[in-house]
Amino acid sequence: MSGGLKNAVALCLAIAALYGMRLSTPLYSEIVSPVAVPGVQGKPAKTARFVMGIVKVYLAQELTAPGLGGTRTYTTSGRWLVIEAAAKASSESIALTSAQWRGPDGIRYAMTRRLSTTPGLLGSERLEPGIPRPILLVFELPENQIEGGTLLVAESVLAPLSEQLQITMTPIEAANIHPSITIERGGHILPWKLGFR
Amino acid sequence: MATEYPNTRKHYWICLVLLLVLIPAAILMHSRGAFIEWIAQASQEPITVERGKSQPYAGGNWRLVDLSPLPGRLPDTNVLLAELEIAIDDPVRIKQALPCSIWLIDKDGRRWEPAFLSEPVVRQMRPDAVGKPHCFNLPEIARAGTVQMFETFLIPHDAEGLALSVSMTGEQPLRLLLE
Repeated sequence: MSGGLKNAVALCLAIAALYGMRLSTPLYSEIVSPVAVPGVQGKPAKTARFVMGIVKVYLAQELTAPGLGGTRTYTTSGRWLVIEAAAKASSESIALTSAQWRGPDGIRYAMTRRLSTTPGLLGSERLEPGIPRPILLVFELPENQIEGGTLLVAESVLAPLSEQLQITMTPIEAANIHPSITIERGGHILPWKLGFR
Repeated sequence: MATEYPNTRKHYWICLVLLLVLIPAAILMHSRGAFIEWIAQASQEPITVERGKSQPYAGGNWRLVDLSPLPGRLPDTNVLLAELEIAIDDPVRIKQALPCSIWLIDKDGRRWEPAFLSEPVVRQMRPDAVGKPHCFNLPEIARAGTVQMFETFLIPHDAEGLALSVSMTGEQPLRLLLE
């Protein structure tokens, strides 16, 4: 009887272990997805191939930026999130082409494509080792997806197992929330200038 | 009553040790030679060529003429102008070996790709370098004779021990390191 009970317990444990392993087995897409490298706003975040730091974060209802044929004003029913950052390559020339915003409930937003000719946007310039460069990131987001969000930056989302920086963002300071932000062309050192209203 | 077979423990350990051989062998076979090829490429040392000397490679004789630093537009940077000379004696072989890739390497192992467009300082200070061939358009100018090639790189001030790494896909794993 004692032997029978032992066998029954062992069988139940084995079934429970197998079920647990089945539930915890990652999907193939998760196995080959980018490797997450955590970071926090205010400190440089490092992957093996690049380093990035967030300088300033702004929020606005309206954005004015240079476009084809002149300056254009962009309105939104959500908010414009404008991030000034700096990055440099660690060991070889690279291009950062992927930036996403992950809201507090996990929904991901790609960087806006409405501002295609704005100077300094992520992907407009190649990063060289030892030369930090300023980078501008602009997202158009629903208002409830801003607080508690995470910035995701990678060289490419298509390359399996490449590293992706996941920077936890702090709440935006009240002084950095404006009704309107104007992005103008800058110089070689800082490709853009921001104006606030 | 269970039957005890002789040498059970000995066979158990033999099988375990065999696994250490069989699992890597299975990985090697499954990679269809790609793993061995990767090791061969990674362990291949480049052919080091001193400044001013030429080296036969991929149907031509390659020579690094000069690495000239010019002031960069950004703070604490230089624009490095690399001048190469290739005496092509086998244009067919050089075309078969293309594409060409070229990198600037420093003593710390950092690597820079050449700039796609000439920097304004190159047009002002070295107008002779403007419009000259680059590594990427070698197919267009690969014919018997001497070709003068220029590449520009944007590097920080602290880059030292610079050398040019030249690699032709058809000649891999062989590559040149022009110091």
